Amino acid sequence: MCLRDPRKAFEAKLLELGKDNEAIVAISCDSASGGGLGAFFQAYPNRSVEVGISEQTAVGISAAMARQGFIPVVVAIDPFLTMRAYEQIRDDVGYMHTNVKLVASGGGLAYSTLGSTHMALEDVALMRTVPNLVVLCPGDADEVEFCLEEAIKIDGPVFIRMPRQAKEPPAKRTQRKMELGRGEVLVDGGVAAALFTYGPSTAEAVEAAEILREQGVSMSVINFTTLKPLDEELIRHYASSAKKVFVLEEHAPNGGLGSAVADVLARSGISVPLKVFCVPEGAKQTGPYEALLNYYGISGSAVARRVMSVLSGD
Amino acid sequence: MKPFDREALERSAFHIRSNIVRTIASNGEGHAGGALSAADILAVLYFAVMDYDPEDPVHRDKLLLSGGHKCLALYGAMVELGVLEPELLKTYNQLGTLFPGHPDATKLPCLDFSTGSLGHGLPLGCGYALAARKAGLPYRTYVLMGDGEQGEGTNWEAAAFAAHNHLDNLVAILDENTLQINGRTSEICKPTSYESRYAAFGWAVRPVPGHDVGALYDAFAQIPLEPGKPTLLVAKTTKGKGISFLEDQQKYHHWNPDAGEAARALEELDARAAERGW
Repeated sequence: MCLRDPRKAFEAKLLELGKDNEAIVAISCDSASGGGLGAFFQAYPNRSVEVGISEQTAVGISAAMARQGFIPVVVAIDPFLTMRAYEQIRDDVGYMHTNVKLVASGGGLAYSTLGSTHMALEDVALMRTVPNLVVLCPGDADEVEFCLEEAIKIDGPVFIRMPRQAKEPPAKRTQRKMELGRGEVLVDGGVAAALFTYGPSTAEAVEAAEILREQGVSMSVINFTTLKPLDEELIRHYASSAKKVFVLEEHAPNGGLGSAVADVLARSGISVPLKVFCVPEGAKQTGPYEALLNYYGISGSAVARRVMSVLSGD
Repeated sequence: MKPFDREALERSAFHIRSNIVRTIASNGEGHAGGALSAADILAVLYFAVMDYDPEDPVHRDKLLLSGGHKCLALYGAMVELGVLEPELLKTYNQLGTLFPGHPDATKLPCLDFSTGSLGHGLPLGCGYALAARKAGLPYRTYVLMGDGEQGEGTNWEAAAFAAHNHLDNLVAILDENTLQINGRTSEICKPTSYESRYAAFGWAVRPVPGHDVGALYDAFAQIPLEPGKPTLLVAKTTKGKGISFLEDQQKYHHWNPDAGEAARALEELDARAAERGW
């Protein structure tokens, strides 16, 4: 299968949506080309705004434009949007419930060689705390298109954590059932072991399940493209029957899906062992993306190994 | 703009001040200093300059109170305008009030945006000004900033953006009362004048006496000062203006009046009202 670049998919989808919806404006933080706004800027210069390297101001501008009926789609590299502009996102977008679409380019370990300043390993934790904000974390080009379409439909603030690496989709688009706010069962391996994941880790999780299946071990993989609102019902469904629950994410331990699942289990009174595969707090190893996934034990093969180790410890 | 009427504008400014002081006196606390320094500016804006319709948030002129702690001046202006009932001011800071200690536009749709954290107003102002241009709407956007607030870097991001994009429908007013919580702005961080800094960023800048409604009116009447440039009026003001013992005093940024202070302030207001027949 020919892998599709998620940013190119984003660029084409935004261009397409912009054709029919004149309220959409693209807001760039010196991110027009690298962030997938290039085609939109070229096609609709009057609906394109280059703010420059000023993420906080870009969010403020977007919030005010949204109050005037525009649908700003603001793109910046993930940590500079979610962390530098956190307060603007919280105050001017979240509490004000402005119709702004925040697109954080290259979440997780995407900028794997560039060091801790460019990695976004706390972004999901931060965005989950913003009032009224829908948090979407696509993992491949198909999900990116789905998320952008849904984001424009929603009359309110939406955050999209944009992946950078092209990943193998778990199935053909037509065979997938993507639904806003609902988890997506990608591997139905029964309820003995269930792995919850999102974003680029989804492809690794599916690979892990395949490796395990070849070894005679069944594990379900559920993809949560929507992290907020979270499909807690689906989590409870699997967790209430599973012997082990796993979470896989390109994120630090605090505040990501691992924390969210732990919350659900605790609140629901479900007692099941939970193991979270993620990036350790403060980790700042660099290197090629795939090598880094292996280093942290969150690649498909590493996850298969770790799951097997946990299950065989019974 | 409406025709200039000094008597009416000074009366409106006085009533805004009266609303500020009476609200604090009856509720026990509030950001007095900055609200009082901004009263004349808001009076001139809302009663003479702005095309303001509380029912039409899209087409009206916009006002961002970047220093949201000055909200009592804004609430006072809304009451004086007849947009809000004066009785509501009694709920200030009470549970469920529409008048919290920083303005919340989701509770009061007559306001344009919630503010409170400093340095948000000018970026928002850029957004409103840009939206007007993109939509072909004639409204103007006014941002009332403080001088201590100029320490926030977002002001300088937005200053560059506004000038670069020739937003001459954007008007910032810097309420330069020369005091911030910890002392004089000149002693904390003010390496150059605000006039020179904004001018260097490409703004059309003019200092104006900030308690002279006539001078303020004249300055607003000439906006944009230079076509193609955003305008900054540096309003030279006195913190706590209008109540003698509050004026130019660092400690009255936030005021918790005791019974004696409250009575003294109200006496001054009454005397002023009697003197002017207000």
